[in-house]
Amino acid sequence: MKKTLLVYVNSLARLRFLLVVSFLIGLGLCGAYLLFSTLGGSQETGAKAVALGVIDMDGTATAADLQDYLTDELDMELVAGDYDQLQTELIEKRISGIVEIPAGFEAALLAGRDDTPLLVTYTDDYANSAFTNAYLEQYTGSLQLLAAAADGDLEVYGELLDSAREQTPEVSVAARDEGAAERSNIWNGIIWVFAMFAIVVIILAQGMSNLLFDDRKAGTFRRVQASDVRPWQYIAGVCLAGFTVSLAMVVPVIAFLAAQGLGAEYHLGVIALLSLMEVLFVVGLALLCGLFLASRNTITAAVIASSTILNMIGGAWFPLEYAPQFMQTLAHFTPQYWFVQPIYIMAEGGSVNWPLNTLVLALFATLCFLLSGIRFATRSSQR
Amino acid sequence: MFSIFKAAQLDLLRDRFGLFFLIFFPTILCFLLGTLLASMDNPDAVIEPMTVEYVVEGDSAETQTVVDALIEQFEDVEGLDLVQASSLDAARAHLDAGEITAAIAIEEPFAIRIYEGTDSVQSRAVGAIFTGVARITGSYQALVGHYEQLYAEQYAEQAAAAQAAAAQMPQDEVSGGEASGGETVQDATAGANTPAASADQAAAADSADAAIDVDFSATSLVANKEFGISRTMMDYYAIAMIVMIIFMGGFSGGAMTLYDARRQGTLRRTLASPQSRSSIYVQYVLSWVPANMAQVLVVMLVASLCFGAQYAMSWQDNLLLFVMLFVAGQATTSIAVIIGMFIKRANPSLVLMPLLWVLLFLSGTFNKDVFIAGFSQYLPPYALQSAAFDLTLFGRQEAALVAVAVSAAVFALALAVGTVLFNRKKVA
Repeated sequence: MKKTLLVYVNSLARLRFLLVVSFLIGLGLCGAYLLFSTLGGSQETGAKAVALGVIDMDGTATAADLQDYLTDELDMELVAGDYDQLQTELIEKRISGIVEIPAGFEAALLAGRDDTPLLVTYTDDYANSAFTNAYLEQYTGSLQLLAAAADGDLEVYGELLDSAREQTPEVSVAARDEGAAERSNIWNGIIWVFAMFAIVVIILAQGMSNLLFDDRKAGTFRRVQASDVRPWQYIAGVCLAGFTVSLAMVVPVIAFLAAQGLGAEYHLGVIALLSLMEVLFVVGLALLCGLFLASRNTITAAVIASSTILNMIGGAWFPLEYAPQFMQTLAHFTPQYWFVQPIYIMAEGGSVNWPLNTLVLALFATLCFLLSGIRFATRSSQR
Repeated sequence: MFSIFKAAQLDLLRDRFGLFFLIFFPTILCFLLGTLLASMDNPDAVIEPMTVEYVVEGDSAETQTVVDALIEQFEDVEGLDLVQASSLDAARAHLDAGEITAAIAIEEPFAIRIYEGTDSVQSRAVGAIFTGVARITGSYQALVGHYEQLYAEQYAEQAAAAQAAAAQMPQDEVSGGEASGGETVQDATAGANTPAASADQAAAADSADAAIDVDFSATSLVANKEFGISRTMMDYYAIAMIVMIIFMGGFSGGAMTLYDARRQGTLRRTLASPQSRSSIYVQYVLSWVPANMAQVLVVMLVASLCFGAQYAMSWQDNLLLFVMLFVAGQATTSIAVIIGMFIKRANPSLVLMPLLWVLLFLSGTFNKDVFIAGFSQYLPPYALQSAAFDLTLFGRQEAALVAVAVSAAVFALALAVGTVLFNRKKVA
């Protein structure tokens, strides 16, 4: 035990810079939680979720009334700009559509003509475009009624427009559950933080891999064997150091979330346990890389590749519901799936078989340690 | 003279994993992300039949009239079932149990409060329907008021005319005789003295009803304009992954250049050679030119030929895109080599990687929905992606040309500064 501790302390000293970086990233993740729980998921319902670009080339009372209708009554966000700017906003899906109010719109309306319609441009935001079209059709339908009654008289039409606006009954929406939005925001923050943790923790484990690699190349392994430090004590000490470095990232996050009052309702205990298992797997992976790979560059490539690809397939980057079926099946073969998916399920109010997830993650970690052990034993016997 | 340059290329070709990471890894990511998220481009919502329970809060006849008209209007609407609930609490209980789509409370003075269910699409449909109802109701009320005023003015005119006629008639005819219009003067005068509110409101309502009944559906004032531009997830990540490798690979690889040379002892030996320090430094930086070119070219070719990604429409714009991304790659590498000069003890890629990851994440490189207004657009990866999309989607070259110019300037400046520092600093 003492020798393992000695190796642990020594390894930790060599990884001290990484330890500090890991801790700072943990603090950064706490900040990320605050950011993403404030930005929130999209719990806006109705038209509130829609932003539209508007180009007003008419400049009349009708054009102003339309914009007031979209903002005041439908709570939409209107974005002004020229067509080029709005095209970019549209393709980036920061707006759902572009509404052009052409010059002469009001005049054509009053004259009973339909040759100067509103021009609406959408991309592939199907739900929002369908609803926005419905809102605009309803609105222009009411304008046609008023214009017909005004019989071409602009003054009368203006009075009717004002009167219609004043006499339109208020339609308000009560959220189904006042606390739902807050809970959704909190879960959004939790999902983002632990998804980012899953991605970054593997990258940091590279430090442990490099330490093992350096010891291999420098002959430290041989010196260890010549000493009274057993190989398993050496490996255990290095792994514990790697474990500590990774924990330095996640412990501040768990502590912060607990301090925020997120307790049983957010299954913080389950998340902490799964995080621990994920760290265990990452240490096993780092051990594999450190013992198997031939150069530091190779270790870097392998770590970054596994961090991105495993997390991508496992659902840490995006919810798996968007993936094709074969990729959703493939995801089951990644440890990240068993770490991240329970968090998504809990966020939606579902129940999770956390012992199963814990066991699977432990099995992945065991596999990594087993392969490393075989590799280490093979190398030792070859000498 | 180019010994370092040549040696760096040989090292790269021998380093299989390094080649994989620089060239094939972004291609794999592009494929994975474009495939994983392809279904986000498809419509996926169908509005099922809806049941809405309503309660009328208040007992005014006016509100009840509007409600009756509302129910009658929706009787023939397929897919929507309006049912009166015994109470709001009962309706909300049914809503919480998932038995109905939404609950409506019709309040006095006439207003509608919607209690939404869990299905966001159906909730939006209910909201859209009743927003339309509210708008039509407001227009109807405006028309009723308009016609009331019209009739009131009409009667006022008739009364004034009748009074004028009466003023001209002989006195005995005024008291009981008939006016020439067929009605007694008293009738006309009496009619003129009736307040406007009671001056045939039914006629005003009838006129408004007639106006509402006119079918305008054949004359829509909303026309959909074809956008003509589409960008699939594959198209997005075909650019984003190149930007990712430019920053992650370029910074990481560039920073490791001197670090690796120092650790392997080659830097010390190179400095001892007859080559000038400036030449040595420039070669170290320029040794990344082939790798930077290759990584951009391979991703562009494989993504477009094998994965169906669309870049620019013309070969000239594609060439500009390639040049922009390549020069940006060289700029990042040249900055990274300077950073590598200063990080001697720790592995520079370990130091830079988390920072780069955060930078790329906040730039929307990994997830295009990540965009913080007022911040993300000023980040270099975002600016590069934005310029690339301007070029590929809209054929707008201005931003790409600016990106090329800025990248070239940064590269030149970093090369100059790095050379000066390398000459003065103890680097081995």
